[in-house]
Amino acid sequence: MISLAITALSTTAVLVPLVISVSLLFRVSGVVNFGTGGFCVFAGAACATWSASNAFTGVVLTLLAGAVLGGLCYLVAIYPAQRQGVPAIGLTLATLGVGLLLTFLTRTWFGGEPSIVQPWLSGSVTIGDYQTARQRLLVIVLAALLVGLLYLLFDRTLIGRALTAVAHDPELASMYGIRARRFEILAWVVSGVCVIIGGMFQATLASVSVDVAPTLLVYALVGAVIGGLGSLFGAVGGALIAGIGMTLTDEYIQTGYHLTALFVILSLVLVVRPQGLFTFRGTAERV
Amino acid sequence: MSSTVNESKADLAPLRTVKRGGGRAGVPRSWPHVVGPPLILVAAGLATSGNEYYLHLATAAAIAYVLTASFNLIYGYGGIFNLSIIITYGLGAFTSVWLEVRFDMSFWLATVLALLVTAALSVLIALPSSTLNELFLAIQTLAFALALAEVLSNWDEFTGGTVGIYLIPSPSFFGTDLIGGLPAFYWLTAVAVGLVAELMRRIHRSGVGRRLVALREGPRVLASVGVSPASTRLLAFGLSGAMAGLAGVLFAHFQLVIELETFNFNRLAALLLATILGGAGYLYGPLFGVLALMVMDELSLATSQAQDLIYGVGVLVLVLATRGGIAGAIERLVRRLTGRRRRPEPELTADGHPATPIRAAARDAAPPGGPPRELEVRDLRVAFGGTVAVDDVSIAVRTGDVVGLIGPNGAGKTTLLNAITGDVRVAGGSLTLDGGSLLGMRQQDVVRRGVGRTFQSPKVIPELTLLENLMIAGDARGGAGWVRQVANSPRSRRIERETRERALGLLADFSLSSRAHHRAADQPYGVLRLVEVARNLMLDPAFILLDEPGAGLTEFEREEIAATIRSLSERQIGVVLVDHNMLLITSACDRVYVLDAGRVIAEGPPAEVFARSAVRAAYLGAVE
Repeated sequence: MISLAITALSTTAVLVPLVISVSLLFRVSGVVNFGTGGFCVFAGAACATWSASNAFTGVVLTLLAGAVLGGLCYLVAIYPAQRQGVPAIGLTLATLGVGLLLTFLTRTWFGGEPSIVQPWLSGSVTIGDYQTARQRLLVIVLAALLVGLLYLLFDRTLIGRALTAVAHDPELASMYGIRARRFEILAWVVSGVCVIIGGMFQATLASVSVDVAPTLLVYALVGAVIGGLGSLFGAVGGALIAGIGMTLTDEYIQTGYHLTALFVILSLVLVVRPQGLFTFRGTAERV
Repeated sequence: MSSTVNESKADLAPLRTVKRGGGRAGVPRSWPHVVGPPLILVAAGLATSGNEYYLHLATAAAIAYVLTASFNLIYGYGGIFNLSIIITYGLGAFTSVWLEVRFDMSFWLATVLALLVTAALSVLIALPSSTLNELFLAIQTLAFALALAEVLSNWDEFTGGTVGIYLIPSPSFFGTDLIGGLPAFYWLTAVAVGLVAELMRRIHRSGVGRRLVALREGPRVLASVGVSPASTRLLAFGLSGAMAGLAGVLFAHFQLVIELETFNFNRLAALLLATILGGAGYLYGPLFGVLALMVMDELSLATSQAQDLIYGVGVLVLVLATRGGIAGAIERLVRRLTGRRRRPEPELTADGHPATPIRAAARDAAPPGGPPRELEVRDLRVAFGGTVAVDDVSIAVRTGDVVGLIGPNGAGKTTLLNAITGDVRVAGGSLTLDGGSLLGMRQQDVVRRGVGRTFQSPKVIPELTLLENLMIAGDARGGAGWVRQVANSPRSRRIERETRERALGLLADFSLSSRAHHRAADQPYGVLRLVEVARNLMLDPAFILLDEPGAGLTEFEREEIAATIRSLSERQIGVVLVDHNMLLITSACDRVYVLDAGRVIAEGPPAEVFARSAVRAAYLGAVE
């Protein structure tokens, strides 16, 4: 039982940053980021390479790269397209292009092989009669911290208010003196950092390679949709449902059917509650 | 009503997008389009037959054309971003091979069965996703594609797991083996591609193409002319599924070795790129797209396998720099050279002609002397959450009546019309046509029973010509089935001709003859209103509900509407007229209902009703 719970939670912990990233961008720019998989794989490979001498510098460098890439993605691909009035589906295609470019960079800079980031905490702990890697627990704690931090940022500061306003109606927000463009960049930067964190988590627990980019993308998208696009609460809930669903499928049905399990959950949610399981009045409006 | 004007302008803003080439103006029906594709195929076959590499490229390109055409059909024409097409393609490949190996079937039978399987699978995906918007649909179909790939990869016998399937038998044709990579196989592919190209041409020029474009640009329009958007959608899924399956079958027997990995995300990206680069929604889009992609592939081979780089940059440039892809650019160039550039067109003015009543095309709704038909609304109630928008409203209209529905903004007039046509859910009361209940019916079924409507902001299909916009309605009325339309049977040709003549007649009645072949997107607001009314008349309605037909019109256009309403009544059609123009209401209506806050506060002949103080209070504020 405890082993199931830990596995489900650590799967969720990897998904949480990815889902938040997708959800945030959808809320602020109306874009579904199809480049998520490319970002993740880049993060894993970059962190593995840059951490070779010192884990800490590696992580910091990777996080910085995520922030830069997120911002760049907005400035290069999204902003010019928005100005031309390209509709949401076109912007989504643009993110797919960015994902392909990142895959190319990953291949040329870090090689195409699966990359593994050495655990930040080595060794293992025993809870009851279940033994697990310390790293696994660390990732769960870090994901929880990240959620807490983002909650404070988006729900308890003026930045969060402004971001909500921009998400709602950029024109109106700028009439009230909010620099909408800056806040949109901020959202992309935060989203870039989040998706990079998810990629690093995945690389410390398992491995990432360019081949799994589409799979990670679908995890993130499905998690976001079942939780309800657009709220932090929905993102965490969606990631949790996805994590639990995949773990239970492994345990009780058959291993190796994660995507199938997610598709079934997704289809059920879209039929029963298309707005997402964790979308309620009041939370839906928050970033 | 400036808000509705703005809204409609936004609807019709020139479509500067990566999708939606539109491109149905200048419907190709002449012989170059019939013999062109076969000529290209024959020329390519002859030119490459001596060189193994070029022959390989030509065959691969021909197969890619089929796949791209399939995605163009569903996304370019139908506007459905169905990403599962990639696994449909793979399924076609594996199914045909499995049937041949496992059941010792001939290639031909296995192909037919594989196409049925892929078409059925495609329809199956369509069913649960019918209410999703395009982004959600993209997510769901992508998830489906990966999930099905996961399931298939675990079915060793079918896909060979991670190893793949070897020793694929070659098709045999009267004793000749058509082995993949040799000229004989190219000719097999060429025949298939020729058939697909001809199929696409026929879809493009027939009512099926019109319906698909309407599905993309405005599903509500389809429902309002009595065509079920849902079945049009299923048709798009089924047809494109079968075409993707055919591409898969050809691909498997061309490669002779297949593995699941081939049908991956990168192949999908390449497919999207080819479709949009070529020009989504254009007949020749897939051709250009496949050629362009082939050039890009050769380039990336030259620059050390940088396929992701080339595709990534390609996608970004596409999104930013192109509208309608290559086909769209060519179309614009041709228009510029021939001086037929599209620009916004002026409003209708009298030009010395009086507004004409409708003559040619409208038929009498009820036979003279027969009993009138009756549309009756009793105690109807519509609620949105706690707000009651329509509160126990009862009205009755007979054929030949013109009934006005007036009241301040927010009184519930449009909601009442929506309730009658099945657009919103009714909370209580009854709604009958000649005694039969209309409650719970979908809009297209209400329309088919003879109740047409127009919208407050005119809903037309911007990328179709005015004539085509009218013909959509004709398709619904007496159209031949899609099989007949695609087969171009004598019956469908006759119906097409009749529909066309009728539509032209109606356009003439509305003084729109000169613009019949111009796109709706370039027309001013008033013209669109007239087109919407004309489209309804194509359906021979017994009742027509007009939602503010006079708003935002020029003087001449308004006279045209008034003349139309008069002749509708002469033709024994029942009219429900919502408008704020008192002159129009008083001159046209036999009876008026006044709505305020969802309730009927007065009814009777116009003069009598307007004399009452409650009505004045509702409109002008208290007078006393």
